[in-house]
Amino acid sequence: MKNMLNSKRIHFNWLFLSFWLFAMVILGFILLPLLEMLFEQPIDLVLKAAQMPDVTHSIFLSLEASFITAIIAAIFGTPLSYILARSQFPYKSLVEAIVNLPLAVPHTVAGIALLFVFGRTGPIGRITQNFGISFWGTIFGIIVGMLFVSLPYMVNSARLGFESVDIRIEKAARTLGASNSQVFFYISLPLAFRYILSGIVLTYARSIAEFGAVIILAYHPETAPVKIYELFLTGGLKQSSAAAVLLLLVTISTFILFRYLTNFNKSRS
Amino acid sequence: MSFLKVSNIQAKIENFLLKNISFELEKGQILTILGPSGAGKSLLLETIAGFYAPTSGHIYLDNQNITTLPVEKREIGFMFQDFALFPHWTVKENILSPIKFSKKYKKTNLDPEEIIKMLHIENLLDRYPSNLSGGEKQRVALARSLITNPKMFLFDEPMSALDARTRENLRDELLHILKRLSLSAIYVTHDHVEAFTLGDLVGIIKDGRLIQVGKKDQIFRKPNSVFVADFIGIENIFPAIIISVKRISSELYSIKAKHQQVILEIYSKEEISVNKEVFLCIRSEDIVFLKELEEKNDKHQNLLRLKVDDIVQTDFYYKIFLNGEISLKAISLQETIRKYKINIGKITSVYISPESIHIIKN
Repeated sequence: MKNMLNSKRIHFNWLFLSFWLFAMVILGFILLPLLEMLFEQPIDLVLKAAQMPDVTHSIFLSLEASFITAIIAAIFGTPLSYILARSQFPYKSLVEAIVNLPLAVPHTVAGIALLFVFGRTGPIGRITQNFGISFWGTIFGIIVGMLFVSLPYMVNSARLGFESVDIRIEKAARTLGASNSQVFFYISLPLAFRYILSGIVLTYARSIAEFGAVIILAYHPETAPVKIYELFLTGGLKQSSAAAVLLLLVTISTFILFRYLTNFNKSRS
Repeated sequence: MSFLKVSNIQAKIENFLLKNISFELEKGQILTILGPSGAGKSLLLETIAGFYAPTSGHIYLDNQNITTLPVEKREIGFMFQDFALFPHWTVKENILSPIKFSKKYKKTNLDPEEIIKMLHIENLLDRYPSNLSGGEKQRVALARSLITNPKMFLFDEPMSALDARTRENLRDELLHILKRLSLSAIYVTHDHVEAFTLGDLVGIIKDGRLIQVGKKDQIFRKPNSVFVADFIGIENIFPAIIISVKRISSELYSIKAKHQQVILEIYSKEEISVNKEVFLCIRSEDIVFLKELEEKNDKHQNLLRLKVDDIVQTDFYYKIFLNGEISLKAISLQETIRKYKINIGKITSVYISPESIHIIKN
């Protein structure tokens, strides 16, 4: 027994210990502000905030718009990610750069750029206006803003999923009589599904958090981050933090729920 | 026409070229294609399967020109490395997947039940591929392909990820099944033992070119180039110059060739011109050790006295490194080593029969 302790000490991994110290700083940096805000907040103020219709409306609007955004991102992002994972074409790196561009563009800049296209005089905004759809100050505008900033998460995650599918499995299906689309729907899509789901969760989470692009396109109706910003401007830290805690609780619980669902899928296959 | 006829196939796949590939295969025959990695083995198979279109040349299968048919219409079974089973489907779903993909497989003349019984996978049907052993995967993959009633099979190093022992077992099993169903197959590998065990015909591929293809024994005994000789495991290959050629019967020549100071006699069916530079091949198992008594009987040309440099034990035989006027690698059983008193540092006598030396002309 004594020998075992000794040998453990000799092989002690100083590198990992020091790395853990650095890691703790990062983890603490993420958790501390959130926990501090959570525990400093009197519960009755949070409950009061939960009873304010404009706060709850803004949270529901955020959830609704993010959910729709995630679905649209999955529908339009999945084909592109399959193309990127499975085919070689000229200027592929350019397409990859375009996909990741929203990560580099400041979100307020993205919002203004989107107005040029989706605004009342923009090429798309002008057409949709004829069908009564406006992107200025509506949920459509919120969705457009969310979609722009969160699409890279969807495409990159789904692409990783398709790349993780052994191409020989797809080829085997072809030799067994499957057409290209059968290979996609029967083999590639189910096998990459966990990654697509995790892309949807990331898109959803990123969309709820979006502020910059959304506030330019639609100050009203107010999403939760916009509402919290407004409360902060008008009522200060005290007013806004109750709503902030409420939003945090709602988003974290939906995030945990989604994570659970995706992990559930993983353990089954 | 042969069952499978590949004539003058050229293909360009990304930056790789397949050049002028031609061979023929009869029904029930197995062709193994042997080559180093990156030689174009997989690309050749995938071109035959229809994943790539050749830029020129033709492929005929069972009297039908299949050169431009899409993959799913070629009726060719393909076995990939690790067998490429669908991981999200059970064994049963895997085996019946062709019927899911295409209605035409509903009326094959092979009954799924029969295939399942024949390959002994009845008790695996509800398992997922991740819970199968290498041998079970192979049988499931074969069953899955057999449902489509393929005209022939292509194998792309299906066993290369498995350990040596399992590979040997699966190889025997596979050979048994292929021969029993008299299936034609092309089997690609970089392992020359595998190639010679499975193949009726063997082809050697290098840099996208099929260098030699022919009956197994032909390739084994008469490689047409130093590359082929080396790749199929001939241990002794050395340059020599022809010094005399004499006809000794209606179809046999006695040829003398000189390597450094050693003159060896070779019997060959082909005539060759004097002074030509050639390569000589001697398989290590064709080097015969002689007892001390026989040493005195010096009537043979091809008798050599060489020093034993080293003896290395491999799995069941010994490799003996000989040195002197010529360096040779021989193999021998332990019994021979003991009986003939072969020891490191000792001089020993060896004999190489004139029939067992092969001349490579270029």
